[in-house]
Amino acid sequence: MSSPILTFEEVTFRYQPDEHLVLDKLSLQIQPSTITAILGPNGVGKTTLLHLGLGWRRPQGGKIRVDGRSFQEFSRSELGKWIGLVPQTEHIAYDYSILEYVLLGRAPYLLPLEMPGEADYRAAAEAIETVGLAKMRSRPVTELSGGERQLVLVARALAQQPRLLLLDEPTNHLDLGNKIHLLELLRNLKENGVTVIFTTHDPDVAAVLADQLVLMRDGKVQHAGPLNEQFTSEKLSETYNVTVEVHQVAGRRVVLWRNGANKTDG
Amino acid sequence: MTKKITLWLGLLIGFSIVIGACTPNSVAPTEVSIETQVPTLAQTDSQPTPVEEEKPAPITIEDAIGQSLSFDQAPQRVVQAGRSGLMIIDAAYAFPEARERLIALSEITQGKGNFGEVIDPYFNEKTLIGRDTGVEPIVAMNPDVVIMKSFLSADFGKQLQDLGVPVVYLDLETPEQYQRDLSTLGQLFNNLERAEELKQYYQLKTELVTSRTQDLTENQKPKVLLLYYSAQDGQTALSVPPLKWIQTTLVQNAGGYPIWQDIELGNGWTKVNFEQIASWNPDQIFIIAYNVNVFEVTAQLKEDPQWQALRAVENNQLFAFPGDYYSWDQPDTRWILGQLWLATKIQPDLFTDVEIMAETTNFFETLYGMDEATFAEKITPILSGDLE
Amino acid sequence: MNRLSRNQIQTKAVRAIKPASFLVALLIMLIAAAILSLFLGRYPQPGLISLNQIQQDELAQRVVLNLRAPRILAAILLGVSLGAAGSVFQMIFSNPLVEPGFLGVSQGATFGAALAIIYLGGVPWITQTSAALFAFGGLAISYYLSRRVRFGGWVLRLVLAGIAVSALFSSGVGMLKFLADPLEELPEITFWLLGGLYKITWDDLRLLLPVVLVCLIILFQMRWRINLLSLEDDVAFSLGVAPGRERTLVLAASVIAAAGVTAVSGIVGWVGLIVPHISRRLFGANARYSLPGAMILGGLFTLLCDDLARTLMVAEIPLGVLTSLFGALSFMLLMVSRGIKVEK
Repeated sequence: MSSPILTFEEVTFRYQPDEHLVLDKLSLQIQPSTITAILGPNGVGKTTLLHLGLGWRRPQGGKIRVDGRSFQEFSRSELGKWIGLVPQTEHIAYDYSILEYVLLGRAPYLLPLEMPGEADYRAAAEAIETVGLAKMRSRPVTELSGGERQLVLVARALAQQPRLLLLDEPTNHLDLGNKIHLLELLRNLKENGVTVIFTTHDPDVAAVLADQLVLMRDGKVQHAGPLNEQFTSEKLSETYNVTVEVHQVAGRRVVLWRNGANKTDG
Repeated sequence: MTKKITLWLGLLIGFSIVIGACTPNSVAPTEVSIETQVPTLAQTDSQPTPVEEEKPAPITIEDAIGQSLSFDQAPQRVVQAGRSGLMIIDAAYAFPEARERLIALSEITQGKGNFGEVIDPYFNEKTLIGRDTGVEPIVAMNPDVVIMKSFLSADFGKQLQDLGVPVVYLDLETPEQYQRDLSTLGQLFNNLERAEELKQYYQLKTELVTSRTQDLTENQKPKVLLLYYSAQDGQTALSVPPLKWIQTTLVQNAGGYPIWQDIELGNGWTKVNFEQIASWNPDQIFIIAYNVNVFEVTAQLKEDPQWQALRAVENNQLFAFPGDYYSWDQPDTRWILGQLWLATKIQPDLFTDVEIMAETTNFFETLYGMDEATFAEKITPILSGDLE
Repeated sequence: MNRLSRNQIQTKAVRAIKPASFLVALLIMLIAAAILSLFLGRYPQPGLISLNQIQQDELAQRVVLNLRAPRILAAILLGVSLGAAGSVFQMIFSNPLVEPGFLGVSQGATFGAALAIIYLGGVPWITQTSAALFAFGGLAISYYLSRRVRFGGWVLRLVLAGIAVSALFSSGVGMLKFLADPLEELPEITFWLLGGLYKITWDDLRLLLPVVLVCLIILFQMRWRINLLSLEDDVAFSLGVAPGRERTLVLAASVIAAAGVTAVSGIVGWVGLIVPHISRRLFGANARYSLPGAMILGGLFTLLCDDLARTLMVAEIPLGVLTSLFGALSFMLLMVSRGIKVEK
């Protein structure tokens, strides 16, 4: 087994000194060229986990390593070439064209005073092609639907040519068609050597896509491991504190629940 | 691409530093020697011919800020510009040369028209300058000299001087400054005797008042309140003058005690409210108003029940400050009339021999050569204030 | 995947203007307008003066060099600074309704100037220094106040603080206006509030020019990077940007330039608000082109307004009056028309 690309060792984190612990001695290992889904109820700390993995927030306790190195060993632009982030939503105030917006992803490759050049335009165009928006390259982003906008954000992250792609609830606002499109896109990325980590609160998405599963609750990792082992009725029920059943349908796992699934002691 | 831009921008910075280092020098203001310019390029207003008899003789002018300017001959094209020009204009008109040589002046009225129209036969041919006129139109008139108030020396005056136009600064705000600046004007118009005449007139009249009041004790001086009434933006306000202004001096010279000198005053008119006035409860109140009928103001105040409770109103000691084209309280040439009138009101027993109407006709005759007929026709009808 | 050239990637089927060429064209227009403005004025008569006349008349030479030249330069600097600062603010705050003075800078400068006019004699350099000091004071108070606000993202906090500080200074100005001598000081304050370049001399530019130029160069060099500074902090971080530091640098450069020119010109409103809009209409949202566009358009706009201010009538028209009049008109025009399509 190759060395993990991202590790968390006993990481603790809280936002303010007087606030509660968001992450409590969390430990995790992500292997390269895998797709990991981080699953858990809302507010459990999934986004915080991503922010810590990005290197944007620093933990109060424990260590985080990227490719075996600490964040201090990366320069800012190098880190930008390694890790890309696709946020849940983004408010875009002005009518950039898709190309211009995706071009922003080339920032790690440019000095602070430098302008994008030929190579950057090419990379941006490739990223747009990959997400399937090539025909709309010059359309203003403000004219796009929610799903298309999400794809633009993904393209921007892809323009970074990262090795590690972090996505925060990427399928939340997508309709069925776009959701499927995105999931296939992520699978293609994995096959091209990109490590994908995404958070979601929708188990079905995880079931379709992920190799590895991380189940979080109360700031701790409840369970982590290959999907086959972790995606079970017991473990999911425990994580979400509701009674659910995992069934195999047409070779895939699906989650079902029945009336009265909600446990009274939530 | 980046290199090219950096180079180009570096040039820009260098350019700016060069600009900063070698700006054109302004013309030295102290010694200026000019000839009267023959107007070739500038569009001149149709001008009356200059006084012919005068042969060109060099003159030197010393002005209010200590400049010393020399001219090959007395300037023939004099322009008065800038704000607060009233006192300069009226003082200049006291010199007969001004009628021909003053080619442009500020338009100043206080509700009754331009005084210049009365005493200046060439008034309609002169250019009237607004308060915000820029430098270029002034320069376009091709002046030999520009006269203005000394507080403009830092900006407006300096801009003109940087272009090589001589500027003479005047103050004309206090009796002492009148003595000094009338000499300056005398030098400017090359009529030193006339300047002496005027200085003597002011000296005489001032001493007429101060000689009788200077020995008064504090008890003999009534408590006087001088209020300036203004209605700006729909808000009426009554204000007192700062201690340095001539209004305060007039009261002191006339043998009164200016009751407002105990409060914190700024550089301009300071608003006071009725409570303050009531707490002072002065013996006499004088109301000044520009641009509005001062009688209407005093009438209004006398009918106000709050004001009727004041001692001054009870004893019928609320007076409207007189004026003709301009109110007599300001440092315009008419301040001397204001001084005399105040003396008769504040210390009536000491000035029974002073007859205001006679002094007024005498003033207009001495200063502006106005005869009785013109006085009756032009001045008498517009006299305002409590003049009896 | 074919190796596409950048030009091919950028080509649209629709006929379009390349933004870089458009910028150069505008710059040439600006320079031409500046040169032409040297010949425009009210000496010796309203209108244009010929080169011949200038060569013959020494006074005309002085008028052009000492009076018009510094003023033209100041007008261009004013427009460029306000356009740049407005553009930057609207990008970073993701809000098309902000303008450079809103963080307490405009009102602070007004307060400082009014204070100097009433209590310090109103001499130009004192007024300018006072205005500049209070402009930065206003900004500093807004900034520190925003750090103590307990809620909202950093944009909201700064906006709230800016509004509060501006209101505070505004009431101070009201108080000063009330205390001012209605004959002399009040008109001076009012004229400052409406803005005007009628007092500009070369001395004023001596200090102003290098300071403002440095700020403008910083902004120009960072024009593409500014696009990134409006992103959320986490995304900006992921792209290798230091959002706090870079925003501070860019905002500081904008405010220093804007406050500096405001100190000499008085409050000239609307330029910082409208010119960035027009520039975005012409060049698109990408700050790489819209920022320089805003600079050049701002300079052109202010120059033309100032030419009118000193030439149209005998009296000086306050510059702010003309900038708001023409600013609003051109904005309406652009909103209604289809605008010019620019290659993206």
